[in-house]
Amino acid sequence: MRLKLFLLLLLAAWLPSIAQTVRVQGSVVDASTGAPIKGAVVTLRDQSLGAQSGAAGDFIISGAGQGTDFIIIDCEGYEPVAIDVNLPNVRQFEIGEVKLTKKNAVVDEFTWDLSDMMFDESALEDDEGNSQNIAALTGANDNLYYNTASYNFGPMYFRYRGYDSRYQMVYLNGMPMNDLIRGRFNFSSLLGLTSRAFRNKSTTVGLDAALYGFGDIGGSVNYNTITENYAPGTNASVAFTNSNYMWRALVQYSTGMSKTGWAFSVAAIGRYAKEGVIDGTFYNSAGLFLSLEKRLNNHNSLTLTAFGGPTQRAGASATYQEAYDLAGSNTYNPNWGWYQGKKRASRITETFDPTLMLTWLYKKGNTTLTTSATARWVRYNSAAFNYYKANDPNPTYYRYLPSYYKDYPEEYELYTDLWENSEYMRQVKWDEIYQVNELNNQYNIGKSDDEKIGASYIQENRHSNQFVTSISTYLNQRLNRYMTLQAGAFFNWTNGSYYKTIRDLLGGEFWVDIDPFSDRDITLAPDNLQNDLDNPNRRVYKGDKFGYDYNFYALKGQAWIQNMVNLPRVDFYYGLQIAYTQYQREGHMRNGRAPYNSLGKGKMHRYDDAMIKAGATFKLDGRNFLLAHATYGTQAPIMENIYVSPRVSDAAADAGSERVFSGDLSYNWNYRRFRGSVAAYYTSVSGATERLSFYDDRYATYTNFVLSDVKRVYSGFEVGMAYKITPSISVTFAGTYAKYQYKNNPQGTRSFENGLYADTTQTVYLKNYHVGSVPQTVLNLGIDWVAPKLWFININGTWQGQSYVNISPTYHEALPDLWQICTTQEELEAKLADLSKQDKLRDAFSLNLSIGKLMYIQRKYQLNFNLSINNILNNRNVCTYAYQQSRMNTSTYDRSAYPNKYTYAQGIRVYVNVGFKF
Amino acid sequence: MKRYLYNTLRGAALALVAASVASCGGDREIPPMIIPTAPDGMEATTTIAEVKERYYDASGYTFTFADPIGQLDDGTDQIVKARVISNDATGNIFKRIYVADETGAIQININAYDLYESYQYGQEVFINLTGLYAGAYGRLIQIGGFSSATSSPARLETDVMDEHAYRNGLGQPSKIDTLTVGLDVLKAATAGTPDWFKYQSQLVRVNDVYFVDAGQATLSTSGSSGVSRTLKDAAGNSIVLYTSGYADEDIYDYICPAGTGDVVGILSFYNATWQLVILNLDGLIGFTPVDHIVVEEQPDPSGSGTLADPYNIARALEIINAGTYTNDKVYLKGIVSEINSIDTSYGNATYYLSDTGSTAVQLEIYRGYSLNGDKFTSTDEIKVGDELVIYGQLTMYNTTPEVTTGSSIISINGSTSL
Repeated sequence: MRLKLFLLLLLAAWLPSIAQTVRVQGSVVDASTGAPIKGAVVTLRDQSLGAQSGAAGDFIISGAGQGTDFIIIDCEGYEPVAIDVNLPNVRQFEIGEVKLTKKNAVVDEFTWDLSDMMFDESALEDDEGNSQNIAALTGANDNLYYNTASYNFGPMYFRYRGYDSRYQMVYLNGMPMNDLIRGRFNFSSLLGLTSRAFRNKSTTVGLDAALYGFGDIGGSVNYNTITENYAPGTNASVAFTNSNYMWRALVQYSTGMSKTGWAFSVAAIGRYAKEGVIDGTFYNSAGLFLSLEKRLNNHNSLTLTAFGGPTQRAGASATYQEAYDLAGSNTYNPNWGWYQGKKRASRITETFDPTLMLTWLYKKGNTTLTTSATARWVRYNSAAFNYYKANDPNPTYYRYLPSYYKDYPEEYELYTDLWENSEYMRQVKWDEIYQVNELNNQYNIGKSDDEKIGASYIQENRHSNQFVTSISTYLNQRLNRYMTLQAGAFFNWTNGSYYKTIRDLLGGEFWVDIDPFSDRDITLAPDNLQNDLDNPNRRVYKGDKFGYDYNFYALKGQAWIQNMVNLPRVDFYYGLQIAYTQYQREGHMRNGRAPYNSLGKGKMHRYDDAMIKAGATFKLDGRNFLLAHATYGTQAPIMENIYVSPRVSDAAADAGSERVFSGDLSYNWNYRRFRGSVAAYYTSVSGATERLSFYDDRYATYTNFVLSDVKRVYSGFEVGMAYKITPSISVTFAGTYAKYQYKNNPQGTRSFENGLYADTTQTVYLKNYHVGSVPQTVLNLGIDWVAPKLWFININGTWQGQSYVNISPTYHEALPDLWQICTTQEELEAKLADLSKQDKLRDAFSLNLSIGKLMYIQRKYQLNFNLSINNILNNRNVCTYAYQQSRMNTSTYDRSAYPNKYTYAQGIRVYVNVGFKF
Repeated sequence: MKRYLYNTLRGAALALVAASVASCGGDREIPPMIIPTAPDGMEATTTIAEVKERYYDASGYTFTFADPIGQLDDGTDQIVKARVISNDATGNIFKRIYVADETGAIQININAYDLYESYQYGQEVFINLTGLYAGAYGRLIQIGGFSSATSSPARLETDVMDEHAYRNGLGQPSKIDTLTVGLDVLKAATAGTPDWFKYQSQLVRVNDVYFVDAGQATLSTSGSSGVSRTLKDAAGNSIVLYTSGYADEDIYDYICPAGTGDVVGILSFYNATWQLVILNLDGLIGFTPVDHIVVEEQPDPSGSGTLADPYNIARALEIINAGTYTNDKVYLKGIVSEINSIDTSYGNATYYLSDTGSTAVQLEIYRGYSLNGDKFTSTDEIKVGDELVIYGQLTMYNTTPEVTTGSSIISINGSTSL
């Protein structure tokens, strides 16, 4: 009896304590970017209970008692936050999202603003195909090396670990946005709004685990446009710069979340330059961004994001060193000429790609589910000359250059003199072009319709349009206090359409739709001339479609799952992704060069791929960490790499998926005044496919060259260190020493567009040659000074070296006839060595300065000034991109017959911005 | 302690970075060196001499033909192992190559320019003749392709020739044998003789010869298919130097040099005449180059045709060109400028007389007899440079002014006896 009572009392005493235990949960995010903060220490003060936030920023404190208390959240680099709570008698108590503000938030925000603006700047140069990439990912993260590399490793085009931009994934609200056909993300579609509308982002560096997706070996960024994350208010700025564009005006207005559950944000941007820093270039663009959110209830919200804007620009292109030297400037641009008293550009690009996205966000307890659906229209159009039975209108055609006459001193002198002194000689001769067409018209007078001849020159528009629909969802689930689960799925259907239209007949009467390059084959294979055998010699007029007309259909389905574990001494994660990719071409013209393989739906190419990744962070103590990551798997090739010459036929390289392996090891330290990291990495990509097209003199036809089963290895070291000399002055050093090389001798297949020869396959000797146009050694030293009265000064210097010219495979094959110009074996050896040399670009040093000032007016308004000067020393010899021509003089094997083509960065670059926030 | 450990770790990491300066990048691969090599075990099955004999009628009467080359009796292809002995860089040799083995040399017609690149001077090459055509043009034996049985072998397309030629190594000029031959030997090597087979198309060297037109004319004229210039040795033997007007300008515009020297070239043959073709100006060795052509002043016509006052050559030419010559014999005097031939069996000689001794303006004396109408018994009775007075009949033979057959010499250098 007494025992029973005792037990009953015991039970009575115990039960309430069970009933009264509360599980407190919530998540910690960065107030400025919305990115989750991991490793924040969350304490229930009076009860001395605590937890650490995981990678998703979420935390659980279990076994708490009812009643009032304070929740203190503390994290290195952030201002601590204390929240008053009154824990009710419930099983689970949700605090929600706690925003932490960075110490020196103002400084950081200021610096990021400027960096984002500079980033938008460089995004403009991301021309399709020409310049490979820009330092892609910006955003708040602790990786010193990465941040410095992104912002300061210009003006040469630096690529993270030397990777092509297809290895960096860009997400928008969890939706992968990389172009399925080209593999990469076109940053200029963000309209230059990275510092405003797209400022909320999470960046994942390299092989780290991300919350929003599986990412890729080059890292990833997720832009977040959920409306309520935009701080209410208005933000306006005006900027002036002396590069591609001159003027930029930007304004954003956000309402914040209203009581009725609506939030709205709108941003508008305009950029204009009548003429850029490079002669004959211009830039006009406008952009609009809208984000509208409705909170449906406590757990669900819907956000509609819409953005887009038209751009029209005229750019330069890479050309010969000889042309730059003769013109006396590395910013010489051959793509313009005087016409009727004005500068008229010959290569104009027009783009407009509006995007519409609906995002449903579900957050309840330990579960966050983000689902998005997107529709996107890409309209891209670039203008260029076309000509038939006439002289090449490009002023730098090799026969117009003095070097063509190097064996004839009189002509050589004459041409050199003309080039150096006559601008007319160096630029497009519009008058002559119109004149030639006019002569054709005069010839036509009185002739019967059949006898008339068309224009000799036209300007055509090459269209690359896309319609993209995609849907994605990703889940973030906290399993227990140590583990979180991420998983997601994604589906994308892309319809790309490619065709060209007549932009301007340049005074001519009509254009005959035939291929000018095939004119040589007119006796052997007259059908080769026809772009459309079912409509031979069709006359086309302004606006008509001609030349080629085909669609690319790409489909991708992807699913991934990942587990992140946080333990006191070690964090680790592992994940898996599977993907299915499908490509198909549909031609709408029966091309004479491939009459059986061009019209209609072509072969379906399918790829099944999978990747796994894993990583761990060993917390040696609170300040020293050892990190290791690895990933292995396969990726489908990029669609535009496998089709040998899609404008003509359905022919595709026999390419399988690439195999990727990447691993890195790094040691990080983080002391109050001194922090940094040293990392070593090794990445190998094998079974890759590369493609290029050029005119081959030996066979007198346009040739498409596909390299298959290519192996590339990217390996090196990265260092990033920052030392605080005083609380307001710090010194940063970042650098990389790496090698990006081809590591095998792949097979190269030549396809001759005129169909007169069978395809040939031979070995291309690429082993140990460097991936081109990216500096493999970069060193940067900078000083930051946060001066009193909110002045921010940064001066840094970057040295970039070990950058090489992009080689052409034609100089790296066995040349069976080379012996004919050599009389001894030594001569032959020397000639081979000369032909296969990979030229090195000049090393570059650039000094950059930026000054900023922040002012508060009446405690409500914020005014900021930024002045940024890049390349103060006006180093005009920084080559950003160079490639070896594929043409080879096969009678003399003289390399100087077809010299390399170069693009140079401009000299000193100034950026001035004035912003106003209220 | 921990701090020390971490400092060491940091230092080690940085040291690793610094130490990696030694690049493990590796040497860049160069495409393989390709030197043409004949297939393993390839051997000659016949020789050039045997081929010539097989396809050329030794009586030597057929001038132009082309016959298909078949296999040997034992069923194997006819393969010769030869060395390229020609170089068409200057264009003096056009769309053909010459190859030689120890037994002889032969011409091969190929339809391409700049054959010196694909068939290097001195390069060893196995040639499978089976399937090609052997023939001749103007009695010059050559190899080529089919055109018709009564035409010479056509020029082979390069891809066809490439199928039949197996080059072995790069050109080795030092291994070429240049045969030295005397003009007298060549004179005796008439069509069908063993020497004629031996020397045809060979790279030869003739020593101690002089240009009959030294200083007076260029080797050829632009656009001409070929111009003959005469080389003579001390004995009066001559050979034609044949130069194309499509060669480089510095060849056809080269003024026939003065003095005596040696000439190296390909020995070609046409109908009944040997023709020497130089490969380039290096083939003219030891001559004295002439800056510009000197046009000698010719004396005025004079003389009345009598013994006391013979016609000079200018007068004789004047009469012949005016058509006022008669069948009567007349006296004329001049200096021997060139000797064509001295035939000791028939006893007559064909030579030229001119007023200045140079060949610029001269008159042919056709089959004339020696002193007093006697037969020539030796070849040194007259020499270039001798001053002669002769007695003969002036005539225009077709378009050639000459002293017709049957003339006799009255005096040599003033003397009426040898």
